[in-house]
Order: sequence, then C-alpha cells, then structure tokens
Amino acid sequence: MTDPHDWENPRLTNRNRLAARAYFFGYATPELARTHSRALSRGFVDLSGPWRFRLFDHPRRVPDDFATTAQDGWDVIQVPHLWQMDGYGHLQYTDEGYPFPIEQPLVPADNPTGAYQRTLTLTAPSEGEQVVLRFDGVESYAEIFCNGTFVGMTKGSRLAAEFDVTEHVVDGENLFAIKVLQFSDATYIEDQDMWWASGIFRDVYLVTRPAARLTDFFVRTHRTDDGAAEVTLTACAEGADSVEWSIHDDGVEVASATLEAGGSATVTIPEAHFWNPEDPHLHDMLFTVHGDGAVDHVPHRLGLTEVTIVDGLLRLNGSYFNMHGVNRHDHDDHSGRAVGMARVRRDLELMKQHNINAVRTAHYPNDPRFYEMCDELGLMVIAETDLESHGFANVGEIERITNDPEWEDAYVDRIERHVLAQRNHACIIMWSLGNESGYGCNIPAMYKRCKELDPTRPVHYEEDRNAEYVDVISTMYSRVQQMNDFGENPHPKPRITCEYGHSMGNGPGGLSEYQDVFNKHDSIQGHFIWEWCDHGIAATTADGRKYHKYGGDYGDYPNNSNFCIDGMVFPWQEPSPGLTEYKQVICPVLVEFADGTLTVTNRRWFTTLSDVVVTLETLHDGVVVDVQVFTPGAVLPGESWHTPVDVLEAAAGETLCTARVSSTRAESWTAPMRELGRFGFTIAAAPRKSIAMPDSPPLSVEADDTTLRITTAGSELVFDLLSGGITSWVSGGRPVVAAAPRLGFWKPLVDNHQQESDDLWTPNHIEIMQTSTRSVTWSEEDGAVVVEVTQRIAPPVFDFGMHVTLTWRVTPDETVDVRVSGTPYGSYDDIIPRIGLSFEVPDTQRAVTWYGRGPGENYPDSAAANTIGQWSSTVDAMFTPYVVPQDCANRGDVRWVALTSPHGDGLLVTRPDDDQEDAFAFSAWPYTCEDIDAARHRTDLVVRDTVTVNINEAVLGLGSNSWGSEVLDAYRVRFQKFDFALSLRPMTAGNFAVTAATTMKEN
Amino acid sequence: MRLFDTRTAFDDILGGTKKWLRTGEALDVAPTLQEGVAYSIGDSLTYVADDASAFATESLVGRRRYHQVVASTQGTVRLEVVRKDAVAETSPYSDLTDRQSFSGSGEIVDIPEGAICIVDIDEAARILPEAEGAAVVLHVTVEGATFHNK
Repeated sequence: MTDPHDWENPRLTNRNRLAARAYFFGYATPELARTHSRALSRGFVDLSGPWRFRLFDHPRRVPDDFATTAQDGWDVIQVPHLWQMDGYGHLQYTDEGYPFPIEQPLVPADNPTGAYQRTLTLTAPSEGEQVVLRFDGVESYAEIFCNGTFVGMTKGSRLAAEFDVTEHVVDGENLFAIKVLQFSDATYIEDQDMWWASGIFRDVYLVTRPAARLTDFFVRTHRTDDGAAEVTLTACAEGADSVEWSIHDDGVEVASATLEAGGSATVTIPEAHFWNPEDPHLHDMLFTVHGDGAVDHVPHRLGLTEVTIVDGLLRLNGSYFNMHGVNRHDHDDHSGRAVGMARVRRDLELMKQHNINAVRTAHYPNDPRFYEMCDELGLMVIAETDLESHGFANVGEIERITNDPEWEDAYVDRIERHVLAQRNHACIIMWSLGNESGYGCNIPAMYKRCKELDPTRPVHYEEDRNAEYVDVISTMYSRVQQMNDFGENPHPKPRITCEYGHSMGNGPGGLSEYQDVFNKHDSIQGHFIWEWCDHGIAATTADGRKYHKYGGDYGDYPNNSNFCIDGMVFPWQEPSPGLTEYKQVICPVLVEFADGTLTVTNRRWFTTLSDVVVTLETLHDGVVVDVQVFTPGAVLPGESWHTPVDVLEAAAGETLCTARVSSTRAESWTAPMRELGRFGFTIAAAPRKSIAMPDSPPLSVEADDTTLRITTAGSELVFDLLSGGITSWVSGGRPVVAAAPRLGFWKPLVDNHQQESDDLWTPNHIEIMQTSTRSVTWSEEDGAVVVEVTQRIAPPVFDFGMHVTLTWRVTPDETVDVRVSGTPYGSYDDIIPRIGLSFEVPDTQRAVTWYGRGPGENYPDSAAANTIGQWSSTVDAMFTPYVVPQDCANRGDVRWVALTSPHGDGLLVTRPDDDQEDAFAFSAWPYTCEDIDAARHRTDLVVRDTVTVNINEAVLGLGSNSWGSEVLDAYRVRFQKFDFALSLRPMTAGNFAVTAATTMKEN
Repeated sequence: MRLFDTRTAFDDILGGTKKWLRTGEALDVAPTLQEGVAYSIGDSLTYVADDASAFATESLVGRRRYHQVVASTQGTVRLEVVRKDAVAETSPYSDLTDRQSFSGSGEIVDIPEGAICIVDIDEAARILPEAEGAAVVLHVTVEGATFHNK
C-alpha cells in the first residue's frame, strides 16, 4: 500500500542540486563588479514576477503535460510569494504542533501542490558557459523542470538551491515548470513557530557563468598581535589558469595574490582596519579569473573579523564584547515570509536605531542579501540553520528524529549548505545548528561537519544543554536569578541566553534587572529578545477598517492563537513600547549623577565616545529651565568621564535633571544627533509656600433618604446615599465626571499575565469581584462635607475579599479629596492586577497633561525609557494599538494629571495638598475595561462617548510570563492592606500646572 | 524544611511533579558535569555540584522564588535552617539573586549521603562552613502547575 515518494524520504535531500557554495556573482568587467548589483552580473535573468500558477489538492492531480505545455488557463501570480497569502489553500498557525498526524517521514497524501510555469526567451549558452537556475527559498519540496525535462529536486525551504540548466536552455522560448509540495519529510524539521505556508517565497533567477569561472571561495582573517590582518583565501574555479585576488581599502590596494584554482594564499594587511558592529568597515575584494580567453570578475565586500574564545570568553578581533540582540523571523504583514528586501533593511535599520547590535536568524537562514546588509550596517549574527523538530515535544519525544541516524543526512545537509553559503560574511559571529529539536546523535554530526567547513567560528545549539559539543553554552527563558546563578558559577565556555523577554502584547517587563545581571557577569556574552516582529497578517473589515489576524482567524485548528503576536515591532513595522524600553536598557552610554558630578561611561566594546553629546536638562516641577551640554570626548570602551555640574535648584518645588545622550554621527541608517538614551535624576525638593485663597462661599447641603446634594457657588455634587457613589458632579455648568469613581483591582488582561489569570485570577474570580456598599454616612466638618462609605469588594463563590472605606471630603473651593483604605479578609493574599479608582469623564476631556513619567507608555518594571517631566497627549494617542487589545497607556510616577477639553476645562487629579505620599499612576482610554477585555482585535473596539480614567495606587509589573519570567518580587501587587488619598478638582480653563503645584490654603 | 532520607523517598513523594522529576534528573547527571559550574534543566532549576564547603555562607540566606535544595553526595552536609520570621533581616531581598540575608540561629540539620533537603521559601538556611562532604545544591522554582518550561 505504501508508495515511496521523494518527499517522504529523509535520506534523499535532493536530486541534481549543485553543491552549495558562497553567494556571489561574476561580472564582465571590474567596473561592473564594483557596482555589486547582481542585476548587472553576467547573464543574470530575474525570474521573480508573473508565473502561471494553479494549486492542486494532491501531487498527482498536476497535469501530465505540466512540464511540457504552457497552461494558458491558469492564474497568474507574482513570485516570490506564499500561495496561502494570495488566497490559495489554507493558512494555519501553530507554535510547535504539526498540522498533520505524526508518522515520520509520512505527510498527508492529499498534499497541497502548487504548480508554477514561466516562459522565457533566452539565448542558449556559448561553449563552456554554465547556466544556473537558483532558488533562494522554496517551501517545502520542489521539483524543477525545464522544457519538459526533469532538472532536479530540492528540500530545505530556507536554504539556497541551484541547478545546472545549461543543457536544457535553448534559443528562443523556454518553459520552466516548478512543482512545489506544501509538506514533505523536511516539514518534520521545519516546525518553527510560524505560519504554515508554502511556495516560491524568495527570488528565483538565472545566472550565466563564463567558461573560466570562480566556483567557490572561503576567506578568513587572523588578527596578529601587532594589529595586522592575515587574510587567507581558498578559491575554487573551473576552466581557469589562475585566480587573481586583490583587496582594496578606500580605493587603495592593500593586498593581492595570485592563486591556483583550488589553492590557498595568505596576505597580510598591516595596521588593518577591522570590522566590528560599531565600525563596520568593509574592504573591497575582487577576484579576476582568467582561462582560455575567458575572464570572470567577482567582487566581495570583506570585513576583517576573527572570533576567538580566550579563557572562556568570546572575543572579536581580540576584544571582549557582548551581544544585545533580538531573534528575527522573516515576516511582512502582507506577504508573510516572502519579505521584500526593503522591509528587511528597515528591520535592520530599526535594530541599529534601537541600540541592538546582534540578531539571531530564528530559526533559519535568511535571504543572502540579509547577511550583506548586516556586514554593511554592523550587526553581529548568530547564523542559525533551517532546523526545528519541536512538534515531537507533543508526543513526549522532542529528540525522536534528532536522535535517529536515518535523519542524519537531512540534518547535516542543512548545516553544510548554510555554512558554505554564508561563511565569508564578517557579521557572522557563530553558527547555530537549529532550534528546539532535542538532543541526539545528529547534533554532533552537524557540529563536526560545521567545524570541517568553518573551523574559525564557534557553534551554538541551545539543546546541547551542558555544552557537550557546542562551543557556546546557551539557555532560553532562564529567569533573572537563574542567569545570575550561571554568572556566579560560570561554565568554562562562554554563555548566551538565546531567547528571553517574551514580547507578547504589552511588555516585556523586567528587562532592566536582566541587564543588570548580564552586565555583572563577563561570562554572559549575549542575550536575544524573543522576538523582533509580530506575525500578524493585515486584514480589513467589511467597512474598511484595518486590523491584523493571527492563529484561528482563518478557521485554522488547532492553532496557537496570538502566540505569534509576540514581537517588539508591530506587524506594520513600527516599534512597540517594549522596543523603546529595550533601547534604553541596552543604551551604550551610561550617565550617572551624584554629589554634583556627572559621570559618563562608555558601554561600547570597540569605539570611543568621540561622537557623543550629553544634554543635561534641569527641570523645575517638570518644566525645563536650564540646559547644559557636555562632550565627554574619546572615552575608551569601559572607561568613564567625570565632570562637576552646578544644577539650578528650584526655590520651591521639585528639581530634576534629564540627561539625553546623542550621537553626532550620521550613518546610512540614521541622521546625526540620534538619541541613544536618556537618564533621569532627582536633585532636590523644596517646600512650596501656601497661597491663601480668597474666601469661598460656604457649601450648601441638601439631603433626603437616598441623596446628598452639595452645592458651591459654581458647582453641584450629588452623592447616592445607598451606593456611596457620585451620581452627578457639575462645575461651571459642565459635567466633571460621567461615571462615579469606583475602587477596583482588575484591569484589562495583558498577554504577559495570562498565566496568572489562568492559575490565580480566574479560579478566584478576581475579574468579577462584586462591590457591596455596607454604609454611607455624612457630616459637616470645618465648613467641609465629609461622606464616609464602607464597602465590601469580593468575588462570588468564595469567602475572601476586601473591606474598604472611602472617605470623601468636599470643600467650598470645589475640591473633592478622597481617602481610600482597604483591609483584606479571608485566605487570598496573592497578586492582583492593580489597586485604584476608575471613573469616566465626558468625551470632551480628551486632552491629557501630566507631571510624571513619560512621554511613552510605562509600567513599574518597564520604566527605564521614560523620564519624569510635564507631558501632553490625548486619550486616543495614548492608546497603544496592540494587535490583541489589552491594558495599555499606563503612566507612572505621576504627581498630577489633568484631563481637559480643548478649552482647558476638565478635571485635575493630584495627591491632597497636605499629603506627602508617593506619586501615583494613571491611564485613560476611549473604551471601558470591559470593552478592552472583550476585544480580540482592535476593530472590535468602538470609541465610547466617555473616557475611562484609572488612577492607580499600585500597578502590577508586566513580566514576560506569556513564556518566561513571572513578575519580579519588587513589582508584585498583592491583595493586602492599603491606604491612599487623592484630590480631584474641576478645572475652568485655568493653568492646571500652577494649580497642581500650589499648596492652597482656605482662609 | 523537608528532609528525605533517600532518593527513593524523594521520588515516591514528589516524583509526580515536573520540577521535582527534573530535580532527580539533575542529581543523576550532576556527577558527570564539572564541579562549581551552574547548569540548568529547562527553566525549572539550576544546580551546582561541589564540595559542601564551597556552598558555605556566613549569613543565613532566604529565598523567595526558588527552593534551595541540598543533596549530599558524599559524607554528611550540615545545614542550619530557621523560619525567616524568627531571625533578623540584614539585607533587602534582591530580585537579581533571589537572596536575602538574615542573622540569627536555627536548627542544625545533618544531611547524610544520599539524603535530600528542601528549604522552603519561608525559611532561611546556610550550609555550615565546617562541612566536609560534597553536595549538589539546586535552586528549584516555586512556580506552579501550569508553569511553562521545556
């Protein structure tokens, strides 16, 4: 009954595929070679573009004449693409589960099969020339035909595949036909936490190689003790008499040699300019291959790098370094993994702009131009090959095929092709054998082959847990304290954490603590955030509103829902608050201020601070009143510069400083004066003088059994004496609040709290606590009206809860102070999302001004990127458009916040005048908490005609426990006793800054 | 504090829980690894094998997010254990190390070769400096049943 297929045979990795080699192009002249434009290379024919296409539900349904006859009735699609993104077949997202039954190497018999055809007019090659058809990415199995003849077969979706079509190409029209199967045995090792999708998803093209041609090369560098570079080249060629090799630096030849084909040569460049991520200097290398009248000119951009391990530490060109990295999948929200290079470049430029210096290609090789860009821009790369068999974890045997010799050829093929293709790139710091495939006999086999092909670079594979073979020991999602354990008890081999800081939705939090540990221990030399970009797919509602889809949105099942929405960059390629925070945490310049001395420390590894400017702002009550500029000069890596600074202290109020660190350097990816980071310092706080306020008319009070009405000259405030709530508050004829303040412990769930919700909150019904008002009393005291409300806030079903007292004090100047205290009862004392008051204000009050941490969204454990000052925004602009709506917009360390209309009337919230308590946090949304919790996509949200305001005494940190670290102890909010006070004042187009900062005293 | 006289007793009582299964796995593999080096299994635990004296501290140390587990692999390891609320804090808790120092004195517990002692998070403990045995010291997460790990 079995019918053996090439696509279900792991021992067969290809048919007729050419041996893997370095990625390069040959040109007719040196001038053309220096353009590095592959479109100008010899015989380059770009086959990306329109192809005839039809999707079949079974490989055998592809017509018999598919390879010989143009199928004119088929659709026309644009290659590169993933056919599911074009509406063919079905998209499915799983993190690790295979989308079909596990019975390796078998895959579904009804294997979706895409058939592609392209007709080209070509000229047959001349004698000795070679025509190569190259695919940079086809998923997952492809059979190639040219003019009816079978050319070959390939697997390895994200590894280049080349075929010699010299004998098949004819003068005139040529028919290329490609049969692509969605699944193959290779799918079992391509289970990489991404959309299941297939097709010719990277460029496909023809190149013509001359009779005398370079076929491969390998160039490596050794740095000598005197700073010279010994560069060794091995060059392979066909039809060549000799290979001339030269290296130029800024147009000046610095080395040259002539080699025999297949030979090696070493040249020395004295006082060489080495490559590093901070100074990615590249030399121009040129091969000239002569033979029998033919000539081939091949350029290569050479970065001089040497990676060594000395005393258990990685060194680049002899210098210690640390990788501040991210894991990057290929993803475009319109085309999936068929990413255009413009998008790739913007990814890499965004990384550079955010102080990131390293990227792990999770979990497969990228388009070859990616590595060229990393060479050029200066990004260190953990170059991972195309391998992950994670789905076997679901049957309790993740290592099943990793430990099966039957699969050795498939495993080794993947590291071999990868290393041969990319090993000439300066950016590659280490190889990675793959991801989450368990450990077994095929890993040492891969390691050995990797070292044969490139003995110069270390090898990484996280699941060689104890570093039996690999050169760099690695873990993923180890907690802060665990990383510290590793640092205090270091392994003889250097260590990285290849994944941490799971960036699903709002977060991650706790990055500063991680970084403190990384900075403390030299043996920890790299950390890579999971992950760079959300994998959301752009979609539009029937009425034209934009949103992004994730697992399950295509009817796919099983699915891992929004587990693919876990990046620091939104699908539309804009930074999330998490990326902003990461940028600050890894800022390459540290600024400290203490005892009148400013200290600037260089946290780079290779270059000085000669380009750095520190702008020190002095703020009085959050307003900049003075600016001083400092240039620390050529401070060496690891060293510090100090200078005394006089700060203008406020006579009354708070004095703070903000140091903004900028680089004057202009690069291809940044304008000059890019901000590297910012640091805030508390300088002084001087008491403010009280201002005696004019007498206000006394309060007028009316009460009946259920209502208390308090009236001043300009306002009226009504309490419900049963619920204790403010049912109406009008000032100057305008409503101040639209819904009464209520104490609460819940806020919209963030992805990083899903575990806490599942384990603690939902089982204890924390999200549906009920408020029961037990008493409301009122009295008149010293001209004020005091309303005391006692409540029980507790979940149904259980016998625990919080006994709460809210004491309102209304004074003739229209100020409403409230003191809130709570005492828990019962057994629950674990964490809760927050403690705070929530209320609604009229939708006219959408302008927000605050004195606190900003300007961006921040949380207690994600607060490094924002400093304290006076900031302004709007409710709508402050709402972060997470793909899955969740709690957002928080601002911490707030002294006061005002929500006003464009005319300045509205509501001001501060601490009470006579209260010296800590700052508070606030958020304001154009939706309710319930709206946000219920929404699964941002288009589910409909803007309300009121604004929800949350004034929080405490907010739980974010953590990154959507996969990884729980909220650190310091940022936990527990269901425990609390007591705080707030002051609410209606604003009448006044200067709320002055009002908030002024201690007013009633006469 | 929970003291298991033997590995069998430990496995019988705790072996049904992933993190404790991994504790057993770590104890099995520790003799093959380098002394003084921290290793991990998933994100459940870290562990170090060394002479017991290498783990000795002057102060009592309390942890909040990881149980300290001491398994004697050679000789008898002496551990001093006390409830945190019975001794004085001498340093603030650190999220970076999961450690807080305490001063005072507690019960002396002998951990004979083959025995395993789990220090609870409401306790502080220290391995006594005069200890002459060898041990594997683990930090095992307190995180719960749906804890993500591999």
